[in-house]
Amino acid sequence: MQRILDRTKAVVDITITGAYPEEFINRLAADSIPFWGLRKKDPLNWDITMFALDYRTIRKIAKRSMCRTHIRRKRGLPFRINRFVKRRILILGIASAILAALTLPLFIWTFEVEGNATVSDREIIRALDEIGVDVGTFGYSVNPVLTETKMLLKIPELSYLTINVKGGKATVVVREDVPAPEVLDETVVTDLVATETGVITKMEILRGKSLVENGQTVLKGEKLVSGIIEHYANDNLLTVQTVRSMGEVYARTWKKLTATMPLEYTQKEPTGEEKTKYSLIIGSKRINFYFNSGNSYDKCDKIIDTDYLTLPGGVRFPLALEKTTEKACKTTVASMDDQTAEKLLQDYLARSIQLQLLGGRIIRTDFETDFGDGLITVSAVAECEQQIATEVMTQIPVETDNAPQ
Amino acid sequence: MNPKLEHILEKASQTLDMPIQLAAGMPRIELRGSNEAILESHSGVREYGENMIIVDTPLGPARICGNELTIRAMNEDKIIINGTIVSFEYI
Repeated sequence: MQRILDRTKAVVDITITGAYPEEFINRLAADSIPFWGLRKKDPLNWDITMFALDYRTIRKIAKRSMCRTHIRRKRGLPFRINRFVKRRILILGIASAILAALTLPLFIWTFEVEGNATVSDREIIRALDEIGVDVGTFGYSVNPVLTETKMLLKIPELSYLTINVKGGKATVVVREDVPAPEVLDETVVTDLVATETGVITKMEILRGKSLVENGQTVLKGEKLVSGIIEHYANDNLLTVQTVRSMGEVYARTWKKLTATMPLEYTQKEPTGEEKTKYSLIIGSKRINFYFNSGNSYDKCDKIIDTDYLTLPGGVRFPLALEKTTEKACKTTVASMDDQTAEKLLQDYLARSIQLQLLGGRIIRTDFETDFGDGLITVSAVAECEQQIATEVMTQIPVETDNAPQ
Repeated sequence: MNPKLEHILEKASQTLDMPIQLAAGMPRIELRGSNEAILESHSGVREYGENMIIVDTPLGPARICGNELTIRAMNEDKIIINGTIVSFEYI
């Protein structure tokens, strides 16, 4: 500890030059001026170390001893501080860094969203930007209650939102609204009708009176289940019950689709020329390091790479270097071979049919291909099994009074 | 110091069982091993060299001989000598 404290004191290494340096150090000792590290370089030159403050008082002693003194080196914290103070630019830089470290965390530089499932981070951050909370906003100016109110009005899917600003990062915690389940109106009377023509393969009727059976062929629009149920006893109508029909009816259906495409097509081919442009993105501001912001070529592919400054651990700063690469290309005419074109259209038709089924399945597909006039036409007939029942309001017959007046 | 007074002080310190040098202002030499010597009650350095240092004391000049001798620190009363000390003698 003492050694550390000693290093903070200002000391000087001096050289004493004279015919009788012993007289000099005796006078120093007699005047209680401490010194140490005495080293005899030669009979006329001796090196000693003393405190810088004492050095100011030894001139008279040196004069009386007929010696000269010369400072070889200055050591200690006070001299270091003195040298440091003269470096104004360094001090300015250090002060700026300290100021930046103290003030920058007071502003928002990055956002983090937690708790969202269906609403994307981007949508939430864009909505915050629209209400005035974006990169560069002073953290203490953000009112969490007001922000929540505005955000819930902007994004109805949210039921709760809070924002915490700490260390330059705004953490947005949200909770999404759980939609109320649909309550079926049990008072309405509905029937189930067929949406497609087909042969019934399976029926699962929960409510209503079934009017068809397995294996029966039904036409599109035909009633499958009735919401009006008549109850008889001994052929006498006892009561009529009206219900909201519910159930599923599966049937085998057939779908036909046709697709045509030319065998020749245009494609892009790179010419080999390319140009790279750089931009600096700070928050929402962009600084372009190029003059022409348009495309460099008439036809080109543009590839944009954006690298954000990210610290180890994932902290991302709103500072990015964007590299835009424009690759010139030309269009050329190419032709597709028959097999590839046919396969392409067959896959397309199969996908289209599957989309129409809405959860059904394709049992078998037959394709027919035709070529002519540079075109290929593929027709597909698919045998499918799908759910065909749909709910419609029941047309309840109204009794009219026909009695003559 | 007057030799007669010196003798009286020496006798008094022996009778009172006090350290003699404190009573008589006698020089005191402390040797730590053979590398360091601390000499108290000196009157200054008369000669200084790598192999010999002569220091004035109340009892007269004292010569310290050795190799690579240096004066590590010195004030009005004490002097610390480092190096390989071979001998100490009053001359």
